[in-house]
Amino acid sequence: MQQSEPDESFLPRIHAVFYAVFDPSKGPKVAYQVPEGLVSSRYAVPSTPSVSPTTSTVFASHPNPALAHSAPRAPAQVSPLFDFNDVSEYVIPKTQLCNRLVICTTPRHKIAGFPVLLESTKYPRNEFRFNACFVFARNADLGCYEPIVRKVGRVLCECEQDSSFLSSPATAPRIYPLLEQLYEDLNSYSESSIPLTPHTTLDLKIFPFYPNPGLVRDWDVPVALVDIRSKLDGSSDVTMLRVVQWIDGVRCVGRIAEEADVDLDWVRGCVEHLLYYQHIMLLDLFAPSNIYMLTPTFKYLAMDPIVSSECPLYVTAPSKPPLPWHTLLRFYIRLKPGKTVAEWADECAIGDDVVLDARRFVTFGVIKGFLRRVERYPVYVPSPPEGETDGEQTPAGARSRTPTASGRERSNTRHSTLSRRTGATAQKSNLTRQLLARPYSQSRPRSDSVPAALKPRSVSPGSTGSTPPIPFPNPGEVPAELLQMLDGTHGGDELCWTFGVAWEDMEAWLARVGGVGAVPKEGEEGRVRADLGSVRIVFR
Amino acid sequence: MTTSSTPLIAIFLVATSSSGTSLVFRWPPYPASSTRLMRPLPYRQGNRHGLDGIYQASHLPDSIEDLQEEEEAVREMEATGAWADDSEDYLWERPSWGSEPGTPTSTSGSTSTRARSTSRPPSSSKTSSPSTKDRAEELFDEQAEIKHDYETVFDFEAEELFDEQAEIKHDYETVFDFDASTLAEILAPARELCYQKFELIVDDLAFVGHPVCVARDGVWRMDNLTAPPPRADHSPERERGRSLPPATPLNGRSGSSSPPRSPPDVQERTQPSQANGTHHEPISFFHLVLVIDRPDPASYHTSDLSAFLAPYHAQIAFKLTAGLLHEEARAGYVSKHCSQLVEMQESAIGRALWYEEFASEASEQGGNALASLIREVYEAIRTDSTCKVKINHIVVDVQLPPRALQDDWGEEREDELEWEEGEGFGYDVAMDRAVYGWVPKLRPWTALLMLHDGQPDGEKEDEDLTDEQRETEELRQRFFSTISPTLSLSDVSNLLDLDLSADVFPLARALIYTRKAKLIDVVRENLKSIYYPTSCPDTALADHFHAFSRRFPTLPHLAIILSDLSLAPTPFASIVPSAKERQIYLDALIWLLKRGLVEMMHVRVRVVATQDLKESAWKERFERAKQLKLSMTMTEPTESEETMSPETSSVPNGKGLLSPMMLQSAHLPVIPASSASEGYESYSSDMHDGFSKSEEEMDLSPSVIVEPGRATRMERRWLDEMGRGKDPRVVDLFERLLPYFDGKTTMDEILYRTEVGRRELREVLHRFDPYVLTSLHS
Repeated sequence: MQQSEPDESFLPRIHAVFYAVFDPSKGPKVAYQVPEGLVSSRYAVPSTPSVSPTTSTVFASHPNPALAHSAPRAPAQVSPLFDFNDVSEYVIPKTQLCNRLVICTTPRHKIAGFPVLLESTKYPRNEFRFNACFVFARNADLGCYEPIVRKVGRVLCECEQDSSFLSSPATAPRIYPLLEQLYEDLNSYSESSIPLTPHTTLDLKIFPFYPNPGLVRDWDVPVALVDIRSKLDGSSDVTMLRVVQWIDGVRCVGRIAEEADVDLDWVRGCVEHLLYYQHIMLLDLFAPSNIYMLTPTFKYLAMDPIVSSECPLYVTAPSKPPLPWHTLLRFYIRLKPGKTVAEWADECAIGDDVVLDARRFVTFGVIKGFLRRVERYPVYVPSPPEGETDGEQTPAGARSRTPTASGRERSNTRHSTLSRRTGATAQKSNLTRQLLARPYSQSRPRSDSVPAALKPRSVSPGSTGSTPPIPFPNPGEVPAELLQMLDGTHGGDELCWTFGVAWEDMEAWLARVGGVGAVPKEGEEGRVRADLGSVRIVFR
Repeated sequence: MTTSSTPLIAIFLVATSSSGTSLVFRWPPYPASSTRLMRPLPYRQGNRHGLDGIYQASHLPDSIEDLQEEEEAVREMEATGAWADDSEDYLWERPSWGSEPGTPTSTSGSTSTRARSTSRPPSSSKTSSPSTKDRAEELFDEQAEIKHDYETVFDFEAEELFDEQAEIKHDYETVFDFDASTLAEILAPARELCYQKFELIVDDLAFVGHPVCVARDGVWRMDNLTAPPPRADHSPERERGRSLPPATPLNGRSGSSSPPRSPPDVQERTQPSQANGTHHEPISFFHLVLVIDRPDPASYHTSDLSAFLAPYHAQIAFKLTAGLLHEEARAGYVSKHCSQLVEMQESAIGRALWYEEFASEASEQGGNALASLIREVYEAIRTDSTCKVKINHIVVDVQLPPRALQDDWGEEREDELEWEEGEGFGYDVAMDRAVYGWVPKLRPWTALLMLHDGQPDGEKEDEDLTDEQRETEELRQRFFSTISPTLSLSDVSNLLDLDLSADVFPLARALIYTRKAKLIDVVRENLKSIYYPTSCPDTALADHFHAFSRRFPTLPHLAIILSDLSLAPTPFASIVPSAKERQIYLDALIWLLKRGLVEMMHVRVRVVATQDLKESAWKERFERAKQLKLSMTMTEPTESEETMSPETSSVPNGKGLLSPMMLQSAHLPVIPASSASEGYESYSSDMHDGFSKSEEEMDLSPSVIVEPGRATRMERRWLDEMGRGKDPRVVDLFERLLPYFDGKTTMDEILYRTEVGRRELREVLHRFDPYVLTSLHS
């Protein structure tokens, strides 16, 4: 009956708990089990409690009402889960397997135990072997139970060593209620506290296993999935308390470190911690210059009732009437590669006619997974010169030649990026003006805390490991370190963050490196550019 | 700690013959699991700082240098005694018998791990293995192994120090701190657990296999490979349910084995086989065991260890066991090779060879076929490649599913893996599914892209082919010469006059399975399709650049091509400068597809009922209803509006001649239980007063018709309204295409399924432009 019921709970259900010992005369046997009759033994007397005349009395004298729903009371009617003899060599195993976690499997079940062997002259064969085993469904994930099984074995072992808790006839009958409580408590409450001897209590709590958090990069933006603050109290970690205040779905990790005035390493640790407990997720840094595209899951999620009902409420201000999903769908479809969010917003008249929070609109798609960021990867491509061999077209060749190229550029195009930027800003849409809160903080402390903020981070697999701290360059100058990062493995966000500039400035730098004018050509202002002379931008 | 991504660390062969159960062969000779910590190291500089304890405990630094450095530090601390003051060992030591029973051990290195304070003396009598610490620290590489040999020597007691014979014996008898014979007995489960998946987890090691044993009458049979044998007869003498099988007629000492043996005993046991000389004794049980270093539970690729281990069982252990069992039943293959191995081992011991020397000798060419099979499989799996091994004439293709080690295994693209019933399976659906389970779903409109240039080498070495085989071979050759990325599978089947699902799909599936080909969308030779760079971060980009410029020296730099492609979604042809270069760009595109650098973007279509449309549909209906009311005063007032409904005016009789798409809504009133679908609602309200303004209908804001193929009554009205006043030919086409305008079907599929031409499709989309919503994604 139990194996047929679907396992819907978060933690695997214990199907049975049993305690086996090595009987000096009979060999391995199941001494006690809860529920009874689930572990059969071919050679034993069919009614299991041969050892335990007390068992039934214990059972009867402590009628546990909670037992009624789960435990089959009549052993005779229960079909056994498996035969003990099949697995006895793993339950009461050879000496070499003792004191290890052993999980063995039968066709339909997993049996997890921690066989213990104690040697002492006080035992009949100078040794005492026992194992408290937990039975689960075959497909159960036992990750969270492994420490429990180990601990039960260990604690029982110590009780036995201290006071012969298991072997003494006086206390041995208490094993049955112990198993019963383990079975009930762990299944119902996922925790248990059982006093064993006057000095020992068996305290257990099951903690679910989460996968390890992914890499946290400084330009990732944590977005809260639950109300984190409600989970904190006075005893929470002080750093965490400070960090959590700044998790607003807008600020990136590095920015949070600045605002909260916390060491960057610690912020990363906090974010990883929150990520581990699935309280947050990481998004890319939103900027009007970002590009997004639909993912294959769009085909399913576009008509998903949850998506279509949540989205309008999420993306419109509370005071305004939510836009119909159909309109939003059209907006999503218009997000295409080659179109920045700013252009898209202009095209959809967002900010003018349509009241919509573009940032929330985009992040909604990213969170749900039907939208993804298209990141820019600048690559330095030496301009195809005549008669050059293949070898020199590799990035290695590019690297060695770039400094001269940039030097040349630096000398002849030295005009203020800032003035250009202001000019460009003037042409930008309402949205851009709205969003001019710059993603790459201008206010970032540059001189005093540069080593902390800019010290080499584990940015991406291909990152140059030991870049020295990069001093903030003059707006007109291209930092030499940038040239080394133009191999197509460093994304735009990373570059912008590393050098502390916005994409517009970065693009101007790249244009200078590439040998074309930093100012876009006529009619190309504000457009996405992929061709910056020798620097090509690959979007992916 | 090796660079390999697979956690497979060894393959064992355990067999039981009349001389007992033994570990007949193991490869590699000295397997070792990765080093683990029993508690997190408190502080580390660098990027690992700040990681949680469990993560640190289970993930030592990846590079060997780091690890060695760390171990140096550990050794130094031990040497100087600073260690003892500081804390206990951080390195987790696999408990071997000899360590105190109370020793708390935890692979996850939880901080609750208690100190090893119990001061019980290690039991002296049973200590069979020397200090295990060195072993635990060893790296798994050749050098370390050699070093290990020496270090173990120093660990020994003085009198044993130069006792090479004992040392060699120990070398043969110790695996993972286990006594080899004990391990063999552990891995030989009870008969009742044979012929099914075997999974045993001991601390950080997982043993996976498919044990098989001889039938009770002492005859090996193939037919009970999957079915567990009936458990009716319980031999009472096998008191402990032990593995020892099989009361075979030859087996004199089958019931033995109760108490754990000490090593000398084991040595004795192997003696008799030597006496047998060349004659091989039949085995009664064998078990090919894969030993897997358990990944840290917090980093499971799938949520569950069993699911993680499943491909190892299904793809390796089960398949090999099946082959071995077949040959054992037919020709005593395993028996023969096992006894040969035992002999080789005896003679190796006699020649004072270390186990490593013996193992490589046995597994080399000309050595033992079974041993080299094990070695070959191990090495293929370690490098995550495929391999073909031969068990006599049976060729077994062994590999792990390519995605078994990736994060998205089993999560993403489930739809791709679901197979339609009867979709080109061979004779045995279940088996095909088990073997080819990871192969994506084949579609007639997809194409095969051969991953390697030139003809697939296949099994051309088989010279002595029968006629039938020759025919098959010829078919294969024709197939290989025909397939091309520009031809869909259905085209291939037409060209070769083969049945799509019976011939083409199985061949294609086999090609994909052997990783010779991959499934792609058909590449159109005019390059009008849109390709976009894939998102996966590729660290080997520089290699791609280099390879591309070597392969296509006349084309622009790959970065320029990718950059042009990715600026905005445009047809690939847009980057082709002139028509005569189309061919080389086509080759370049195929090159990019092979490397997975670009993927095709698909246009998918949805149908939208706009506000104007709804208004006009509403007006139209209103007009009709007015007329209807007038006429209804003359005729039967109870008559259903359906029959005279203007929207279905093309259908004279509501019950009889509804178009297929109407059936659902037409039947709704008959089955009122079928929920309050909008069609029913509007219908029933229509029933009650000739023209009701149901809420749904009054909502004139634009909406998407989710499933135009199964449109509700109201949606049907809108769809009809869309076609009003248009060329009937186009409307007819539109109706044909309609079921696929659901936003999920790609253009290729639509064209294949409806057999409508691309131009016609474009025309329809153009004519119905206001009502069509196209989305572009892969």
